[in-house]
This record gives sequence, structure tokens and C-alpha cells, in this order.
Amino acid sequence: MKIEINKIIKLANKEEYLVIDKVHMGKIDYYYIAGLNEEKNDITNNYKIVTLININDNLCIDEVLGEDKLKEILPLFINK
Amino acid sequence: MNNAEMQKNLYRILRMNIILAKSSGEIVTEDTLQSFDDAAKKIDDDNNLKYEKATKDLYYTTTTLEEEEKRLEKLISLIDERLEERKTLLADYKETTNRELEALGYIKDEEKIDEYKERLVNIKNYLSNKESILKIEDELKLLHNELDICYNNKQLDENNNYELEESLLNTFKKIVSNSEYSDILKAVDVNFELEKLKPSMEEAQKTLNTFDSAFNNLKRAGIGFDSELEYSSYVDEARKSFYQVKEQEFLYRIYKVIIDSKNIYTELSEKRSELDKILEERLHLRVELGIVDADILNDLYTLIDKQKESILKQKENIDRITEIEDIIKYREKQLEELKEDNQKVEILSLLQEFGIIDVYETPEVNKIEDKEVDEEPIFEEETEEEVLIPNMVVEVIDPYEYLNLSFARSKADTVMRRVGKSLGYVQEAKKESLVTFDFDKPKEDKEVKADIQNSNNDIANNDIVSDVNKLTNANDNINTTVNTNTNTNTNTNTNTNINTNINTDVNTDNSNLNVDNFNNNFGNTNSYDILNSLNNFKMSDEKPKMDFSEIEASSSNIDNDFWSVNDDVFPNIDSNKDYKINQNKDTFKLNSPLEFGGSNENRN
Repeated sequence: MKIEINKIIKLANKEEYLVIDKVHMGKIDYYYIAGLNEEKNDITNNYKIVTLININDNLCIDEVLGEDKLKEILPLFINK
Repeated sequence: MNNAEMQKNLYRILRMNIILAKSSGEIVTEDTLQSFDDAAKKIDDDNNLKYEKATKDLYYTTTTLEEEEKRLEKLISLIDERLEERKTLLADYKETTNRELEALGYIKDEEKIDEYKERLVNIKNYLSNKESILKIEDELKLLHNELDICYNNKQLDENNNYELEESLLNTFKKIVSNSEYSDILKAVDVNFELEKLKPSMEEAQKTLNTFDSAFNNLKRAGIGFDSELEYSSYVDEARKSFYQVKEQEFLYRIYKVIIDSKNIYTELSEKRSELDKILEERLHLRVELGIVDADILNDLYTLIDKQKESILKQKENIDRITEIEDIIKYREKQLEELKEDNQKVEILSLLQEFGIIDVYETPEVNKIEDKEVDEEPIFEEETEEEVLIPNMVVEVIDPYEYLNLSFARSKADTVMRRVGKSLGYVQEAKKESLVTFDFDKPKEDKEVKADIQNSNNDIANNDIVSDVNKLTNANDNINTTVNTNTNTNTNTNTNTNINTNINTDVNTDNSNLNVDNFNNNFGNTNSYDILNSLNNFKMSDEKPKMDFSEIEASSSNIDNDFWSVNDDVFPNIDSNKDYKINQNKDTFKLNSPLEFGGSNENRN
């Protein structure tokens, strides 16, 4: 499954996110995603910056947490 | 030669003219070009006429999906052909003249081809699913029938097992009751009897060892043949005596196993294995001790061998049951998926159109109804369920047709920039968007005039225009334009209270920037309010400098706090529901970190 900008990611917990943007830093891709509402016609106020990780051969999203890390990554999105 | 052929010939000859003229560097006259243009258009018109004639009979109402499938296939094929034909003509014209062939006629239903294709796909999917469903249902019927037979056989086998066990026990009892060991059958507690036997066995073993050892010593010492024979007979007697005790033990152990009757295959199989081990041990000892007397358990051995085949056959049936149940499970899952696929709204609407169903409900309701159906589980034990990781990506799809992508992206962009701004990241100057706020302008009157500019921004112009026109500022007089692609070089040093929304909710509240829940909804520009209201805030190239001496975040139900800002709290990655910002304006340290992201539950 290739995750690209403007695609929609469906998760196992039924949540769906729109991929807004993507940046690359240190061999890792970071995605800026926004949650979709129930009607799937708009985004909600649920924004995340995530990376992709592999758990038991399953592709999963991993939220980027922590001030330091976010301060490193945010500028890449903002200044794009 | 008909007119169409003439036109084609004319086209070809003019085409060659133009090509040759170009290749030899000659100028092609406008007349020639015009004639070529006319010929091309006439060809296209002829093609259109043929196309319309061919498709004329395909516009009728069909009564079945199969009919509709055929009709659409033909129609789509003709439309595709026609479009390809035109494409080829246009390409050839352009290649010849380096000009576009314009003002061509309308190809009927060219704009509907995607709709037709989608309709055809839905019909094909439904029909294919339907066929697969029928096949799988037939197969499941057969499998269930076979499974019933297997279970019946299993029951018969289990009933038969009782008989096998009874026969085995009776044989054993008969054998033992006719032997010197008949007291064994009177045992109430076999384990107790075995315990009681232990000292005798130890004694007998000790005695035998002594005899063996003594005899070996004598042999080593070199006794005569007659003496050896005599002493050897003593040893034999000792062995027999020892075996007698051991035989008791064996019979108790066999009795203990046999008396515990089993009918289920797995248990029976285990029991027979245990029995085999004891019998083998006994035989081995008999050989070791040289016991040649007739074996009292011969009949038991024979019976056990005879019953073995019958018991082993049961395994085939048990394995087949497992196999069938696995297949049924798989097929039922396939069936469910196919049925679910046929419950899609697009397909249900087709079914309703063709009178196959009367009405249909939303797929969720159908699913619930399906689950309410009581079905007897086939399996007693369920296989291990796959553990689903909540954050696992199960699918990546194209955006939904009804999702306003550009609007959503713009919202998200705005939020990102707002957060970045509040964290002090300088943004590059971008193209101006539709709405601009100009903080430097003096207050004029109560009406907020939005200066809407056309931009290359993807924000839906219509929404913004109508919304911005509703902006009011009940508090202050501001002539504002909001620059959503903010250039942070704009310097403002005002405590102006701005209460603006660029969504349809007009905020006429006379509040001093009391934003209970800073909502990063695209329509709420309160970040500017917040930042402006803080002392010494300066929108500049530098990071904003703020005095947080009296700032205390109020607790609020904001989960996704990174993206939300309380009314007078500086947004920070480490923000928390209940936090205080340290007094140091530059450190922005908080007492407890907040998890970035979070759910949307308690927002607003």
C-alpha cells in the first residue's frame, strides 16, 4: 500500500485520515494527516504527524510525539 | 464513390500537400489550410453521423440486468471507438498543421462514458458476485451434508468404542479370573494395591540381584558343569519368583488403564497407547528373565490388535471433519464478503431500479440485521482470532468524491501555519489568499470589511466570499482583511480585539478574546486574537516574545491540545489540559507534557 498525498488511510480501528502532506528527514517519511468526519465529506480537527512502522508484518502509523521531535519536523512542513 | 470517401480522399491529398510543402520549406497557403480544416471537419461530421446511427438503437429501457449489461457494453464500445476516432483525427491534424482542429461537433454522451462504465462495472460485479454466491451456497450445502455424515459416523464410532472397551475389559477379567492373580479383580483402589506391592517387589528384586551376583561369582571362580546347572536352576527360580511379583504389578497397571472406559477417539487413542507401553514393558521383561511359561495375556494381545484397525479408521473421519469445517469457515467468509459487496449503495440502487428489490436501507442497517440472525455455531472451539492493531493501515484509497479536497487541504494548511506561527517558525511569504486581515489600518466603523482577493489558492472561493461577507465585529472598529497565507514580516503591535469568523457562524459576542476552546477549524482565526491580546506580542521575523507572568491555562476538555489553544495560553507542543506556563517567556516550559495529537472527542 503506497501512502501518498491526497490519499485516504483507513485504519483497523475504523478511523480514516486524509494525507495532507509529506516530508522526508533522516531516511524517514513524515506524514501530516487529518481525520475525516463520519460523513467523509470533510476533515475534523484531529491532526497528526505520523510515520509508518511495521508491526508483525503489518503497516501501522506511529504518531510523532515529544516537543523536541515535533520542533524538528514541523518546520519542514511549514516551510515547504 | 460516396461523399464520405471523397472527403477522406480530399483530406489525404491536402494532408500530403501540406506535409510536402513543409518538408520542402514552402509556405502553405491559407486556402489549403482552410480546405484541409474543412475536410477534417466534414470527416468528423460523417463519423458522428455514423456513430449516432449506430447508437440510435441502444437508447432503450432494458428490463433485466443482463440485458442492461449487454446494452451498456455495446454503447460504451461505440462511444470509446468514436472518441478514439476523433482523437486520432485531432492528433493527425495537429501533426500535419501544428494547429488545433477546433469547433468540432458534439459526440453524443461523450461526457457520460465514465458514468456508463461505472454502471457497467457495478452490474458486472453484482452478476459475478451473484453467480459466485450461488456456487458457494451449493458447495456449502454439499459440505454440510458431508459434515453431517461424518458427525453421524463419529457418533457411531463413539458408540462402538464403548463396545470395544467393554470387550477388552471382559477379556481381561476372564483371563485374570482364571489365573492365580484373580484377587486383582477384587481391588477397590488399584493405586493403593500398587503401593502395597512395592516392598514385595523391592525384596524380590533384591533377592534376584543377590542370586545373580552370587551365580556370576561362582561362574567366574570356575565351577563344574553340574554345579553350574544346579545353581543356574536356583537363579531361574529366583527369576520366576521375581516375575510373579512383577506380573502382579503389570496386571494391576493394565487393570487400572482398562477399567477407565473411553469412547472419544482422542482419549481412546491415548489410553491404548498407554496400554501398549505397559504390555511392551512386560514382554521385554519376560524375554529378559527368560520366562517361557505360556503367556496368560495372549488373548488380550490378540483382541487389542484386532481393535486397533477399527480405532485407527476413526482418525480418518475425525480429520475429515476438521478439514470440512475449515473449508466451510473459509467459504462462509467468502460468501459474506460477496453478499456485503452486493449491498453497496450503487448496487442496491440498481437492484431497485430493475425491481429486484423494493426498497433498500443503508448498508450499516443491513449488517446489523444480518448479525441478529441466530445461527448455530458449527465449531465448538474457535480458532485464534487475529489480533488487530488499532493503528494498522488496512487500506489506502482515493479521496471520496464528495470530499472537498482543496478545502480540506487548505484548512489543514492553515492550522499548520497557525501552529507554526505560534511556535515562532517564520513562514515564507506566500501568495495572498482570498481574505486578508490588515492590522495596521485604523479603526473605522463597526463593520468589518473583508478584502477578498482572487488568488491561486485552492480555497473554495464561493464559501469564503459568502462567509467573509458576514463578518461583523461587535467589539471594535476594524477594517480588516485576513491574510491566511500569512507573511510574518507584518508588524502589528495592537491590542485590538478582533472577533472574526470566516465561516458561516457570525460571532457577534462582545468578548475580549475569550476563546474557550481554540478551534483550529478553518473558520476560526482566533490565533491572531490570542496573539494580539498578549502583551508585547509582535508579529515579526523574530520569534514572538511574550510575558506569561499571569497566564494560566484553564482546564478544558481538549484532547488534541497540540492543535488547540486555550484562550490566553501560548500554544505549545507540550501543552496539557491542566498546565501552567513557566514565567520565563523564552523557555516555554510546562509542568507536564501533553501527548501530541489525541482524539477529537472533547473538542469544542
